Amino acid sequence: MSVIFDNPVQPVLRMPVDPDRWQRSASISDAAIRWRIYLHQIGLAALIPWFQEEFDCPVLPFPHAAPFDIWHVVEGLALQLGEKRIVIMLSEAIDAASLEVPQEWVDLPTWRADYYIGAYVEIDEQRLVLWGYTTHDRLKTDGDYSQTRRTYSLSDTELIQDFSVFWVAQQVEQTSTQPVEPLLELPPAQIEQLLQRVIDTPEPRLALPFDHWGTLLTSEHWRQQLYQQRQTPRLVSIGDWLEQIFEYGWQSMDSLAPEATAFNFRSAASGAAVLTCGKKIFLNTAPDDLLLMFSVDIETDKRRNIRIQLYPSGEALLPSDVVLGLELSETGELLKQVRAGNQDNYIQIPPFRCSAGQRLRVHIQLDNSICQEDFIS
Amino acid sequence: MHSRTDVLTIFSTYIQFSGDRFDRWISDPRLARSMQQELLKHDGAERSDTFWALYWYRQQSHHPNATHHLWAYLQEPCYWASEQVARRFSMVQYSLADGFQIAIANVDRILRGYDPDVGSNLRAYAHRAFGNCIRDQLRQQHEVNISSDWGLLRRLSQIQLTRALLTAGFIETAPYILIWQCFRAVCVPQLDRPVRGLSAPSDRQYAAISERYNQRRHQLTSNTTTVGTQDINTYQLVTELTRLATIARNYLNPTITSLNQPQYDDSSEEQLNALTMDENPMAQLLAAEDYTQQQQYAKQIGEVLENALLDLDPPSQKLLSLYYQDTYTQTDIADQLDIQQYQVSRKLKRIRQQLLLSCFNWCQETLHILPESAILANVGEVIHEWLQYHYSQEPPEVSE
Repeated sequence: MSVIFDNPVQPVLRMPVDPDRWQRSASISDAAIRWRIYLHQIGLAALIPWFQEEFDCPVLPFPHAAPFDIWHVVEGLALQLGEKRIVIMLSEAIDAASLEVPQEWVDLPTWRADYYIGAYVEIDEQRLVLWGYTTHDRLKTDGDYSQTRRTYSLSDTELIQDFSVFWVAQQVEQTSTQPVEPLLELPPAQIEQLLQRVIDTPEPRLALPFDHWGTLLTSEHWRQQLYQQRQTPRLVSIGDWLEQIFEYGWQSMDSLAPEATAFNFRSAASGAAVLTCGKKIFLNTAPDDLLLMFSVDIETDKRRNIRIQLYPSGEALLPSDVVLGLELSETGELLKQVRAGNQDNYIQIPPFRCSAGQRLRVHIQLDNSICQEDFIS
Repeated sequence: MHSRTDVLTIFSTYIQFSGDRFDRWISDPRLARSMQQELLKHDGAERSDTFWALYWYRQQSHHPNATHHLWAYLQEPCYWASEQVARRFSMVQYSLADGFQIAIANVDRILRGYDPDVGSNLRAYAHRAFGNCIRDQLRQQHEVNISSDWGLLRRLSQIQLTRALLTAGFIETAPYILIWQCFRAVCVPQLDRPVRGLSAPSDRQYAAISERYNQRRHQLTSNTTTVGTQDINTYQLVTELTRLATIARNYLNPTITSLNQPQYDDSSEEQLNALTMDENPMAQLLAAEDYTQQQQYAKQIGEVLENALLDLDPPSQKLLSLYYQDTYTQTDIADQLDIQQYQVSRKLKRIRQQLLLSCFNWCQETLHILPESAILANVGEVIHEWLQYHYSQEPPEVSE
């Protein structure tokens, strides 16, 4: 019905609902974050083909196809269009009165974009409408900066609404960009402290000074840490793995370590394990990433045989004294713990049997740095 | 409606409606006097309304009545834009007079958005901009009308809610904005039901909202400011959220009152008298030159476009002519050209992009303008205006 009121120069894109995607995000416990990530996903799925059709150069999501670790704290879809970067802000609001862009997309040197596009989404109509755009220069010089929200805004009258213009601008415009402050260099221990400060706050992006926040956010390691630690409970579901659905950071053995034999990895049971899955673990006290491996044998629908192992990822040996532990999630009761010696190339929790649906927690610790993974068998 | 023909009335009269119909032109004596003075200063030269539109546009920050003259001038494009929307969307509850009132309230925005530097014509620009304002407003009102209170709260923008609160007389908006933000953080849409029909929060959600509010309030309060005076409980929350929905709905569905005249402040009268005023012949020369140049750009771009049109294949030419006659819907056009409806806008877009690129290349060579989005947008405007003018001049024969 509302189609009839469209402005003819604004592109209207189809944005179908995607129940599968929605279902897959069920492990995200915060409803607003789950919704925001879902919205960005379906928005991205609608936008990529449109841009690809419109522009000759390759269109790629930035920094990669599923930056949940960004979306859970900062709104905005980033695309790399050849040399140019574009940030699209999705709004569910009925009005298209202003374009509001988080400071991160404007002032962080590695994140800032050449163009910013406002889009309103009509979930019920399953469509997305691009209603105006601006350049970095304009947003930075004419935009209204809000201290409390840390955003730059431009009102609709200051945006260009004709997307034919955008298309031509892509080809002829030299986007000169306003200088932005370089990133702050901080020692890992300090970033770790910053991270701890924002794990439980409702609006982490507003809880630290912007330069500190920017340093934390632009590092992939720390960004992932933030995402994982803010997800409570961060449940990894073995049931999902069976359906080839992997939680963030988890990958099947094949994609994680193509030459699995290099890890001297053997299956838990005498036959081949049904499922081997792993994840890179980052501890700031360890010189390199570690590799946490699960090997699961599905004995029946209801019973699993699980073995948990920890490998070095680049080095030949594990850092000595790194600890791998298993406990019950609900009570914290320690079930088993192993510690690496000087010469260990891996350590493991010996295979154990448990029923499906058991909630367990694995922790990996080296000195005062710790990482936890909650899972449900 | 009968159009005004002489420059004096064009820049000094307002439309009077009787019910939903045009009644007559009402003269504003003050504007008439002011216009007469200006005409005297330019005596001997018969100037068109386009000249005067540009003149007053340039005078906005120098002459106290300039904006009011433009306001009078823009009555007609506003009327026709509204008439066009009413005709096209006849199935919608909407009257011409309503549309006129919606649109005329946007004169300031339109003057801010207009830029005459590459030959754009204010009347044509305003006609399209008024049309967009009305369409956008109708779309919003439609959405507001079919949304539940909760769906409406979900789909408000913070700007709208803030304006609604201020309009309703609230001075301290921060606590209400925070309540609303917490509501939005907790009550997200469900995939199996429309957002506009969002249902009331459950008890668990109410509890989550108030918990979040109290937590955020303390967090914000620590930084020199205070938000709200006390924590909120679930009972109060229900009351406040319901109130917010009502305030927003009232704000977004205003009873349209007549706004069709700029408010004078009395001081401007004296300024005007004191301002009888620079008889500077140089200024008049400059104004004339400004106008000549604008007309020249418009003419030259017209020639570029004329040639660019000749390069288009016949189906593209036909598509343009059907579209810019403004009487066909996209479905009609699709039928006539035997293509799918979605292809209409896509093809149209491609043609426009092509025209824009040719025009821009010409502008860059001839006018040495910079390749910037803002300037490109102005060129884009001129193209729209030219196409509209071009096709309304020579209605093509439509076969079939």
